[in-house]
Amino acid sequence: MRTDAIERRWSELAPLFDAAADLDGNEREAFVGAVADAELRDALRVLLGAAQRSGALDTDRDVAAARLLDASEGIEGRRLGAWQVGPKIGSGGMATVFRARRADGAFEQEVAIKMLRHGLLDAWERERFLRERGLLARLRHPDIAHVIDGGLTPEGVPWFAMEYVDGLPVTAYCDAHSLDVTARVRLFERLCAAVDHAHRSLVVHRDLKPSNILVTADGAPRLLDFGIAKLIGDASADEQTQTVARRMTPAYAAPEQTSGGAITTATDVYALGVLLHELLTGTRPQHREDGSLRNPSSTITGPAATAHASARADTPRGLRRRLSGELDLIVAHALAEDPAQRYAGAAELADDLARWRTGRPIRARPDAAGYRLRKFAWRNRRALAIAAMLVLVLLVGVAATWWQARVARIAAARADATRDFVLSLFAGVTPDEARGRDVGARELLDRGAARLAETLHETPAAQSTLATALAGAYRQLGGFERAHALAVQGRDSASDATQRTRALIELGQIEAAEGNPDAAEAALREAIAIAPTALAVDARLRLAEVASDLGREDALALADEALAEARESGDDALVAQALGVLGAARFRASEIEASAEALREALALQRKLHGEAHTSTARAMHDLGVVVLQQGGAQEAAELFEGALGTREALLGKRHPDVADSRFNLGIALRRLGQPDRAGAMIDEAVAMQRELLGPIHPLVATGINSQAMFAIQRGDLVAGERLLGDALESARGAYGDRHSLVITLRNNLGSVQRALGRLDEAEATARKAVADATAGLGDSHYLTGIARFGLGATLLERGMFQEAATELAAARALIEGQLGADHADALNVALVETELALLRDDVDAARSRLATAEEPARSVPAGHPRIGKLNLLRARVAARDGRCSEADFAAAASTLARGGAMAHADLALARLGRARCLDEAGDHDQAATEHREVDALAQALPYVPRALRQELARAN
Amino acid sequence: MHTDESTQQPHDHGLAELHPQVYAHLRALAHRALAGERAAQTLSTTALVHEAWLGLHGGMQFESRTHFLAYAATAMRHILVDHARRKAAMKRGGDVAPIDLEQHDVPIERVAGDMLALDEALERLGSIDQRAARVVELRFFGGLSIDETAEALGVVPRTVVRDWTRARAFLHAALE
Repeated sequence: MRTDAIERRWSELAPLFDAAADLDGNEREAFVGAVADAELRDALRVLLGAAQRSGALDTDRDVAAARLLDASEGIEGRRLGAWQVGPKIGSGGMATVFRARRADGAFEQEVAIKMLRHGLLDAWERERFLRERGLLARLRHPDIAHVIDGGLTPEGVPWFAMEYVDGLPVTAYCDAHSLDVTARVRLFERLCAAVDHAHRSLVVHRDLKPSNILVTADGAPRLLDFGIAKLIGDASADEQTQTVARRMTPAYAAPEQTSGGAITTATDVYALGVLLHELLTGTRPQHREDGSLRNPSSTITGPAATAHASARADTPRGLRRRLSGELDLIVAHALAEDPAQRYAGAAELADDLARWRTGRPIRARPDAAGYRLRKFAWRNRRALAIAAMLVLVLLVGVAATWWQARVARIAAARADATRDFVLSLFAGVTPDEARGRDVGARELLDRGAARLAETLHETPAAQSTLATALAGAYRQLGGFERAHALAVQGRDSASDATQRTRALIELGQIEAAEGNPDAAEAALREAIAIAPTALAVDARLRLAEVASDLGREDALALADEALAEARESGDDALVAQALGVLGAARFRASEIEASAEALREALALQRKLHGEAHTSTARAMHDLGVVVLQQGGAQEAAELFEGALGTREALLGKRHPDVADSRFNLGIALRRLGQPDRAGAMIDEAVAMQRELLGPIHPLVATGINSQAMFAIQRGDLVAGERLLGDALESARGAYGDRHSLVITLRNNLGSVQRALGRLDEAEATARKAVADATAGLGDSHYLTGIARFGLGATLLERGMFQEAATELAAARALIEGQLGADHADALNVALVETELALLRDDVDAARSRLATAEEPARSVPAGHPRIGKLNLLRARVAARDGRCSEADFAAAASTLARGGAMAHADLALARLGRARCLDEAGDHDQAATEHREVDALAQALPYVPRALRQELARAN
Repeated sequence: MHTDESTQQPHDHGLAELHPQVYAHLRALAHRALAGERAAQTLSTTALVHEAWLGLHGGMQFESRTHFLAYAATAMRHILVDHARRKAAMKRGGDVAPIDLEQHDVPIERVAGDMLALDEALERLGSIDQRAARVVELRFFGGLSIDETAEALGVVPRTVVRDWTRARAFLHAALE
């Protein structure tokens, strides 16, 4: 309704309205009628009428608000990624589910799209969500509904597309088919297998309930929403109030979930226990007044009992008899209040059920020694740590390889699981400590270490093993200082060769991670010397790794040996590791192809052994990425690094040296793919993190600063680039000494920048040192020696020492072609500089023949690359010297070089100069003059005018 | 203050700058409330704002709880209007089957449109009767009681009742 008049005359209207509103019936009518002004009177009537009727302000604002805030409202018919969203098919408290179908018509696919009802709050949560969902997408099992797709809407609301499963909730299905107890147990075992698969991939469901477990018409179960509850739960956690997201189905929530404790695989076991109870009895678990659980069999009473029993093809009495005894025990075991007293995992639960089914003795016995021990430990909280550790130590004595695998798995497991594991050891210490706070893995390790110190005098036998194990865990999380101290403790308190060897191996790894190669080697050599057979391979592997890191000659031999021994031992995990080490050693020995081969095999093997979500797999991906990048496959490398980064972040947490490492490499790959902004940001982040975590003297920090230097140079800030390279060099030297491949590479880079800045004395000194170090440290046939000589040659060229320059360049070319191949991009660089040298010496024939050798390597360089611009420039220059001046060719070269950044400016000037001359020759003096001016401007801006440009400028006059 | 319907950007009227914590916190609370274990998916304003008060009082400078509630009310309004604007602007895809509406299931665009219309009308009221508009904001969006509103505005409750009645009449007229 138009309210212009009302608004216009409000000041008069208001008091009238107030007065009239107080009156009623006739009095009001009279009052209104008495208003003289017609417009006012009408307005008053309108207002009073409106006041009588109900309207917006009377509605339940809360309902409207709830709908408005619900991000999934109105999604029907919209497009999410590749999907066309259809009708809503259900909604829960946290999320709404819609049908959807493929929108691009590429093929038919029906999915269910689950969408959070509210958005994510900030960039950090968004990033974490995207990372973790990648982990989910890799979860594949025939009985788990696969997460096909997922993402964030532009407003930041998370959604998932899952296989559309047409089925009944498992409870309904069993009832509908009147499955008997045995059939239900079989089906349940199958569920457990699927849950166990996910657990081994470190995904906890957190919200298992019948509506999340559908059974299709052919009797196959499908688990929905695996891991989604965690992502959604995380997404809805409000950091400011530090609350933990509540689950939507309290009936299935384990005690620790409602009290805000740690969510572990045992939490899922509890939910499975509830489900089992329901499947067997038709009711949910019931508790007595004292809190203890009623036996499932004893819940088959009352009026509903007959119905429940016949749904299980039995009578109430029969059903009670069937369930009492062992099945009662199994269910109770799964539903224990204390997570540590439940089945450790779904597989163990399934196993006991299988035992029941096949008449073998079950494990869940009330008077089992383990149960007694746990009960004892529960009551004596201080002694809990000792007791649990004792159990571990006892088991350790049984099988060495089992122990190794277990330690490796624990140490490599995600920070949560490590925390959970440690928590379960110390479960029940203080309920207040565990509740509500998200205790970090480090803190728990700290507590574990503290406890270790406390219990030292009580259990000396366990000391060494435990110290070593804790050291490993700390190392995995990047806490090198603690790790070091613990490893030393482990070594010194060792009571036999095995313990000492393990401690030394761990110590060696820690020293290597800290960047102390000599100490690492010492520890490992000692380990090899005293190692019992079972551990000898591992020790050799680690040593090969360290040797390869050092760039030592025997690295390759050591790695080969280790691999041979690993294959002999038949232990696939060792073989995979050995392949990884061999791959790295080969890479450093510049056997790139062979390296890639070994690493691809390693990755395949790691995937087979551990799946995608494992640090060993991540490592193999990362290392392969490095090699692939060297081979020039930037796209594949980027994908590999991205995968490694995702897994590492999810498993190790955000602040970890390995995470920084992968992020850094990803940045490099992105830069090669031409995304400098993203790349720059990643690299800066990674370097900062590495510096913080590893300290300034560390090879990784050095490579990081080197990349930052590359960025600075690309931006044109050569001075900053030189400074950063100096920093990088210092850092690397501090860790490795002068004769290491990394240090030499950095020195080469530094020399290039010094040359570009015109600091020729320094450049020559740097280059000569690089050559000397490379020859002495890597050998005179290593490709890095070739690159060092190339740098020296280029610098000598600038100094005008042409003869010496030619010698160096020729030597460089031979080395590079020999080691990297004639089609390698670095071979192109040498050919180009040799051509330039020939032109400087006015030897056009030589220039032409040098240029010819550039054709082959040029093919492996992308067309828009500045190097190709330089190649085209040299072609044009040679042609010009031959009397075939082509303005167009120079122009083309110029346009490619123009995109090459600061380091290409000198060549760009040359190109434009060439064009100017051709234009002059052709008589187009105006254009030529413009070009000449451009050349002058460019030359003025250069920090140093290189010889080639100087010579050409001189010739022009 | 003008509502800006031409863009899809949230228009926070400066509150977000003034008290970003309040704004963000309330938004977060609103979302959490949606996700919470409530039988009916409603926002209980009092409980929400109470929580916000408890959560924020430590760090914020408010003279009193009521003072805080007053700010919260404005924030709530902005939050809802933000979302309404977004929902109202949502375009559907092409070939979609007609949605069967349940009896009480009003399309979200309508709900959003109503909210926007209310907000706009409230703006207009604000320019002719500032206090009355504020009363609406406090009571309707903030869920304050008559007494609390009176305290927040420094008037007697009777005044609040009169303002409310007047405002309600205007708004209903404007929205019809």
